[in-house]
Amino acid sequence: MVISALERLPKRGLSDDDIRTTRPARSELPLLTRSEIQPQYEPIGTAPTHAETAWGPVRDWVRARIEPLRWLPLNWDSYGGHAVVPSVVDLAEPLVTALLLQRIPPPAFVPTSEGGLSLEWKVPSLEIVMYLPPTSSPWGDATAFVSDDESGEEWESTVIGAPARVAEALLRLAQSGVAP
Amino acid sequence: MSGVGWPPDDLSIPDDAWLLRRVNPRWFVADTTNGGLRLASGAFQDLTGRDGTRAMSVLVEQNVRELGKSPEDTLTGYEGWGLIAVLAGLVRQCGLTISWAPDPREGAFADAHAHVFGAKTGSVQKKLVAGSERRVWPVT
Repeated sequence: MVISALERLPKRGLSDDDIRTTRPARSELPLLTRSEIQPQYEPIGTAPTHAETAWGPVRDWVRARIEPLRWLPLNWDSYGGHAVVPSVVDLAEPLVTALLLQRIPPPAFVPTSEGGLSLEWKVPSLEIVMYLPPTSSPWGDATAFVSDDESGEEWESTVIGAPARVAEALLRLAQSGVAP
Repeated sequence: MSGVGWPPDDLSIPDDAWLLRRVNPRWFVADTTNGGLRLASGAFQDLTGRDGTRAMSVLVEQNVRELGKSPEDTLTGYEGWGLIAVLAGLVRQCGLTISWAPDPREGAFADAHAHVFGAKTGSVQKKLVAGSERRVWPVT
């Protein structure tokens, strides 16, 4: 499901129709407990208080963390940095929501100076950085960097150039049992 | 080493020079291995300036000290922020170049400002994160 979700996301960014076609049917969604939804570094009580199967609550959780990045003030980084551009925010929200619903742990949401968004996962043996750049085609230009300490392998690619490989790495996070 | 559109690598900034970079709190993320914080890879990214220059800003520590200031002084007005330092030699090992870029927006540190040019790939960011020295780290 992760591979198909990544492959179906169009290069131009997501429209409402795209979100409807990539979102799993309600009956396909796995149950998520509160601890699975919220990252470990957040205080208990900030995530939905009951197991959720609906896209909505998970999306709302993601939105609460990404939306403020749209309003970062100019020079927020002290080097002239810009807020995360709307096309990246609008892409990241359904993307991360879809990943969380596949039991992939939530990433760190890291704004970059130029207005992009870096989604970062790091567990003891695996590091994944997915970068959504502030270009006219943030999904088409999105890159993924994977560093695997177990195999010693390190690689980087556009996401659309290697969706299966990126999905495999993300699924390893879900299977690692460690929340990044 | 240089790339298209990059100024030449300025060797007057020696390999053993420390390059300082202020860290906005949004560039600290949870470290699940020890319950603390770690530096995000996204802290090492370029910005395209108004003059079209695409580079990463740093302050050269030796020049900061020559101005009679300490590295920690670069955080004046940035309470709660962090400060990291990377060696110029490590930056060059990553295939990047360094060039002086005096910037009046840095106020007292204008003449200590420099640009780091080159592709900040995931691999480069990982090396810079791993090789960075924590000078000021937020209390968790």
